[in-house]
Amino acid sequence: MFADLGLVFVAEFVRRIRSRPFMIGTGIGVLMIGVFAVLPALMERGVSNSSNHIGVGGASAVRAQAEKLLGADDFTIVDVDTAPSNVTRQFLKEHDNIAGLVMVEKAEHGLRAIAYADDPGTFPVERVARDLSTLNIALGTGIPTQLVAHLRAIRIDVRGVGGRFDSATRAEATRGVTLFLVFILYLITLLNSQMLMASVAEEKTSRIAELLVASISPSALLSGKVLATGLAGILQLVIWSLTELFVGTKAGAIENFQTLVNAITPEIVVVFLIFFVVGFLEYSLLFAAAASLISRTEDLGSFTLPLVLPVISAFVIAQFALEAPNSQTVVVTSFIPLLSPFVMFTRFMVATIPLWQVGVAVLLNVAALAVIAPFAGKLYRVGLLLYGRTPKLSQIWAVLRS
Amino acid sequence: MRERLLMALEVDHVRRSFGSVPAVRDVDFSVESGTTFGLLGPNGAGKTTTMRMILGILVPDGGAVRWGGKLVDRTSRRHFGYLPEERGLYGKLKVKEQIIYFARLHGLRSADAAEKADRWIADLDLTQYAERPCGELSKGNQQKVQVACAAAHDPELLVLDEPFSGLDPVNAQTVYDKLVALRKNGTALVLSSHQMWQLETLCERFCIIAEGTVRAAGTLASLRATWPTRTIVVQPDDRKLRDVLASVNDARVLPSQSGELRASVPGDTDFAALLRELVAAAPVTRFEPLEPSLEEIYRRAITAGA
Repeated sequence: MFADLGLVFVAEFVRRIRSRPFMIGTGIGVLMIGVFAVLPALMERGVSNSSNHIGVGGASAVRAQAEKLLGADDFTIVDVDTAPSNVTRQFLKEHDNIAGLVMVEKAEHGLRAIAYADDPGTFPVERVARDLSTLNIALGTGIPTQLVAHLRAIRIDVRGVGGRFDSATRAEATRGVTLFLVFILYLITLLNSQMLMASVAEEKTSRIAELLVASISPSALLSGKVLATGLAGILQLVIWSLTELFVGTKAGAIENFQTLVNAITPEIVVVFLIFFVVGFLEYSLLFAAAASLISRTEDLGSFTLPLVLPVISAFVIAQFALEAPNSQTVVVTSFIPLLSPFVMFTRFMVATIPLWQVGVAVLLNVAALAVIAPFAGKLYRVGLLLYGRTPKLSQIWAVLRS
Repeated sequence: MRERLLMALEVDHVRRSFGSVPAVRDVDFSVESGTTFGLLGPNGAGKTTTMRMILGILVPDGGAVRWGGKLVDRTSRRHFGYLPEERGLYGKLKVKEQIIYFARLHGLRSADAAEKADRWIADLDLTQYAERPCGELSKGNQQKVQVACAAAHDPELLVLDEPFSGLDPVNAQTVYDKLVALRKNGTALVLSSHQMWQLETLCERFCIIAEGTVRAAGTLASLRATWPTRTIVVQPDDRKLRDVLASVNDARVLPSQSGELRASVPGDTDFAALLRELVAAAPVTRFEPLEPSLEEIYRRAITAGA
């Protein structure tokens, strides 16, 4: 049994990593990681190079105060006392290509401002108002500008009380890591389960399956294929993680990368691997069993959709779990097999939850596997020899009961 | 002789249904090692289901399949080979890799599997295709690769469903010769084919099944022995000779063809006595009792039970 399993495992693994879908999928993953890591920085650079700066003009005394209170990253002090009768796009361009001009003047109780924008719809009214509030206070109260500038900067040191995170930075970094890992889990589960499904369907439709089960047991065949697919998934995980590491360190594209790396503790790795293994096994067994019922590769799509839906649902709920890890829906779904590898892992990462909850979720998944494995095995064994029209649910049920 | 000659396949009154549809009702036969057995029957007769039960792919609802006196299990299945009617190969896998993979699935070590693959590739004239993906080969060459995959591990029992389909006469002869060589080496062959002439020359014993039951079984001689009539060919076409033939009990003189007389006479006719009577009546240049062909026996067996 184990010799057969080993043979199928090696052959399947070699076939898988040589296959075009695996190479393309892995390549696209690497590309996506690179793009997603570099894109924000590029976009920010692009935005700051063009139209993010707001010009501030007004009487020279007010401008002088504004210069001390407003950040140079967001504002440009424009050397105009009064706004021209017609502020044109050309005018904004000529003044450091600013996105808009805010003319400020001292009013009876503080500040009066008029904004001229190239595109009023995208003018950041709230941000500008918030930033100008310090100038408003300085002008309205007469408090020295230096003091207002000093008082403006408030440092809040956020400290956790549950013992999970010792700082807000660490909590934020963990959220980033969680997002990455859950996305990777989603991608690997979806890509590899579908590849496994295609492989089973190919063997069945080309009748190789009949030859294979004449030599070895269907369970050895199924196990070998699932494990090979799992290893191919882990290989992808390693490749993508190394890409992330490279992009983060060498390319320097990811901000606070070292903080993100530090957020990955050994216990996170262990819990992730446990949920990765159980989740992957559950989905891949179901995908393989479903594929064994297909007589024509054209039918793959109709069988894929019902199985893809739980993966997508789990991924979406995990996004909610990032924001509200202890909401009732999230807590309940974090115990449901097929969903919990995503949801419970996210809760474990971002919230302080009792370890028994993680343990129960793992046990429930193992119990589900104990049901799914023989069910999938029987369906696979029977399905491989079912040719002709795709069987109806009632027929499948009858076969499973026999 | 090798030990395998002691082994034999016993298909002991097996039956199998799919839901409420019986595919095999009662099939019973045995095959000696080093012999070839022809399993015949029309489409849907239950041949493939019977073969799948022999190979352990399907479990019989009743009856049993034994190899060497023991129920077929995982160990014995290692020594079986199978060529299903519907062919299947990994299209992207190279010819040699494919043969090695299937040989290894039957328990051969890597080096032995590679050696056997090389031998089969050479014997089946596939050398120039050894490193090419199977998907790029012609249908006939793919068929030969399939045969190699089924037999490279030197099986004790080889089950072949339509092994000659898709092969041109030269390639069919190549495969035929390999099967004969395997049989000489002690392999028991179970063949199913609609090409009767090949089975007639290759098989020692036959089993004709229809609607899941055995209609006729035995050697060609024993099957012929049960045939109720024989056709007698006599030359020349002479009136006196015709009268002698017509006088035989239950005989029926058939329409003459190109200067010869043909008559259907009972199978238990004393042909020596008949020849003496004919010679006494007129000069005889040809006297030939024709044995029924396998195809005739097959047709009769199938229609008789219908």
